Amino acid sequence: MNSKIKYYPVGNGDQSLITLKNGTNILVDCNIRQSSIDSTDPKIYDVKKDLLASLNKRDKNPYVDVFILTHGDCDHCRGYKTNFYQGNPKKYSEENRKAGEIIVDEMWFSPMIAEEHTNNDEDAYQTEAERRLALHLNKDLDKDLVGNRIKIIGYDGNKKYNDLNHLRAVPGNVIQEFNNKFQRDFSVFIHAPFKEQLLSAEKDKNTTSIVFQARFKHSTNNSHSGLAMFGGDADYIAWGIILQKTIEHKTDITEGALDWDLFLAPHHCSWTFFNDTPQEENKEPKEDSLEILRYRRIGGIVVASSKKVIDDDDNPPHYAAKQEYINKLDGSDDFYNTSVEPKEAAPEPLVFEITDTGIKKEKPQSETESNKLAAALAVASTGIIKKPWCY
Amino acid sequence: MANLKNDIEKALRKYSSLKLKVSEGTSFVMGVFTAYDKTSKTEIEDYNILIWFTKKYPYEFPIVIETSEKIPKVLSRHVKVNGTLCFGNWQDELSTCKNGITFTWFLDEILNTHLCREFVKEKTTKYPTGERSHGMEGIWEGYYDVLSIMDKSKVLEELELILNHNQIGRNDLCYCNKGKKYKACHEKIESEVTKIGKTNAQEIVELLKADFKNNKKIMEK
Repeated sequence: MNSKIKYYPVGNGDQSLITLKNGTNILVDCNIRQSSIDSTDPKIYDVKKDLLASLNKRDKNPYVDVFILTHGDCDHCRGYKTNFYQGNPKKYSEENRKAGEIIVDEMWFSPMIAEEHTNNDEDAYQTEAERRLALHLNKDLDKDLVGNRIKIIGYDGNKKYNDLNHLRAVPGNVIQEFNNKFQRDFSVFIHAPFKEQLLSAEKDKNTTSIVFQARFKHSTNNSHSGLAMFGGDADYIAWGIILQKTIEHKTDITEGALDWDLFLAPHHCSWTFFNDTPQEENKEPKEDSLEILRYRRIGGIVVASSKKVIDDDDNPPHYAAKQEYINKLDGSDDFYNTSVEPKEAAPEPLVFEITDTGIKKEKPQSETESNKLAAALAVASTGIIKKPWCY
Repeated sequence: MANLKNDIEKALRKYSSLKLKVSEGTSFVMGVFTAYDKTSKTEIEDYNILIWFTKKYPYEFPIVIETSEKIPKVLSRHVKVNGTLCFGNWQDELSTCKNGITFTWFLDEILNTHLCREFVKEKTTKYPTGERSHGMEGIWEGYYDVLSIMDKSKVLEELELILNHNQIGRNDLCYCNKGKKYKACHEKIESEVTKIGKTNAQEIVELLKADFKNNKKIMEK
């Protein structure tokens, strides 16, 4: 099986699942709206059901190997509190399983998210992170159990975790161990958040998103067959610094740290990637942002995880942003909007397979043979004339 | 003619990948028809089709040819060598069309279902809801089902009885002389047999009789 990236249709929000060749699952953000679980409206895809079906089980209990929360805005962690297990993993019970609570084996935590509180899911994530960090600080015997593992991404905010630097990865680092398993053909390069953002007067969370590049190695040579950029809601200022810093570290550029085959349009395809909003007053995209897009490799794809991008004044998603992306692509065929894939009436996750010959978009679930057959059977049984015949 | 044109145009507003062409006064509808499940909103398969209308339309199905060759023109499929699709046996077709049909309804309910069945047949080698035999045998089978009789001479006897009895009331003794009231005996089966119209039913019975004689002769030889 090849590695895959699945972008879930969650409206304006992010939820992406990276599945490696060996089955390791890395979830980047979540936006599990209760309506997507309760509603039977085909316009709202049941992301929780799909997630549970996609994840591996250990003793019947569903788990993700790694949860990366890019930042604490609700459209990136909605549903964390109720859909993911928090607390001592030894106490995960039958009841938790019945409630569909997913165990997070290892969480990635940017201490910067802790600086201001805006929603319960973020608070729950932080509380859980602090529980795990305490185990590690106290050298608890259980600190390395699945469900207690944690990585610190970037620098500390109010609380200092200097004693835990062995758990820390900062911009410029390459992570190759996920859930205590070393991956030979997959790694993550951390771009942000950087130290300067701690001191910045600007306390906007969107500038302090975790930004990283997921690197998928070719199966026989040393090149990368897939490079996927995840930037949470990072704005043009953050991307400008990323560009500048990466260029300063020449080795990063040689390694292709800015290259991308898949680019998750930051902040749900908003104009903030290109310039300040409103776009009407800041019509010109910043040169740095355009430069980031020029690192697109042949066939590179932009994914807008947002509501349907339409020509109106809404932001996000912003219509002008979509146009800027399309200008940098070979055409609109390489631009995907999660809300209308494969169709607006019934969106489904966008799945890309990372093959040695490049990125391949998978057929939507509804277009697979087994699904078509089930649909054809359903129609067949409704016919007025029951049996076909030939005269 | 004007009615047919309206009927077709209405359907084509819904099925925009089909186009109307008029050639030497005959209306043809051609293009891509997508077999579709509206419940799960699943597009199942695209078929290229060519459709025209007989004089008996809307009291008979239009003629449909599948031109994309996704349905093999072989004996195991319900299609003639020229590609004409066979939707159901004669009595099924007549009863379905007895009040006249619309083209939209035909596409929604008959063609779509039929193509879905062909899709299932292609994928699983079996028709999902069963099938009738080709030719006269398929007509016999229809009556086997309705009358619950599997013997051809008895089917003919029963049909003759049903089509030729004298007028009786619901509470009278049934004409089959089995001692039950008509309403508890033959009423239901009779309405099933005659729903295509008595004349049509009689026409079919004549065909069956001829077929029965023919077969008997062949058997004797």
